[in-house]
Amino acid sequence: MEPLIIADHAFCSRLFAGTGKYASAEAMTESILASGTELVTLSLRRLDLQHQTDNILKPLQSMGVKLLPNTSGARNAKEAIFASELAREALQTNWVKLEIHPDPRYLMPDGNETLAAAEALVKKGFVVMPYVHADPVLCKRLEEVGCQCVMPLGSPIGSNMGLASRPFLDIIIEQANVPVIVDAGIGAPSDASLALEMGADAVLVNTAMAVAKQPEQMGKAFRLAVEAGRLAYESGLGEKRFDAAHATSPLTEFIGALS
Amino acid sequence: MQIYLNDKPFEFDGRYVQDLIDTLQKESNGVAVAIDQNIIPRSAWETTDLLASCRVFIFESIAGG
Repeated sequence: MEPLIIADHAFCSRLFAGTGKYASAEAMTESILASGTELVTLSLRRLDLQHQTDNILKPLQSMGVKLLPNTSGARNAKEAIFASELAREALQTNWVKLEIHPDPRYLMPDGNETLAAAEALVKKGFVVMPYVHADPVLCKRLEEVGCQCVMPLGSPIGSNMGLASRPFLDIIIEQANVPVIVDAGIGAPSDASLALEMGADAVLVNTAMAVAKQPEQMGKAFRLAVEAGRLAYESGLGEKRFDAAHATSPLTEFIGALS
Repeated sequence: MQIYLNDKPFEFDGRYVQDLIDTLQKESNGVAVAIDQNIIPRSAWETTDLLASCRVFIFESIAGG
């Protein structure tokens, strides 16, 4: 399989993973390892003095995966830029997954604020990976302001509804000159396979792996699905034909010879 | 002296940002600090004074998608 290049970094795995919603740090670690991912997302929040949280950072760092902080919680461009700069200090990386959702109920990304923040962050030297609606025009604009990839959603975050935005993803993939990473809504390995078969460069999966009864096994399932999808894409899928069935074996002649 | 840590009053006996991090028994790994919306780079934690009544914000890395 061809490696995926984003900015100056080559990824052998085309599966990116979120670290949220796991029942424990151990379950997360096992699932991430089994998935073969080389890039995982993290969030920032204000230090909680009352509750000690599981330290997930050390196990992730010891695995050697690349860390991608997100700007989750930011409601506008100004907050997202501040969150990105905090994340750069916290995790010593200039990569950021830019996500701005003013509405906490549906977590719909705000395209206007995302474009404004992306442009500013690119100028500040960030590798910007914007999470957006499957909006071909917006994805083109983000590419034009210097984003290193685009991350259109398949369906609402955490919904497991798969590639509900498929017709728009097809257009984005056709038009893009930067990698297209389908993020959000991927609920099953088959969704991930389909995205890769369509020509998406990678997928980002979180909920489907984290809430599985067996997260480790589901991580492996997603690894296999992503590899299969990419291999199929690189191999060249046959065109869909609607006019008639086309036999792959000459059965009629064989039966005719018996009479 | 009293400072404000993440918008809450906090009694603090030290002087520098690093002293506060030590008081909280936090590692620098995965942590970011801002004073009044100005982010303090890790390299400046040992030389940046915290003044009485200043508003300090500390952020940590957590799981997320």
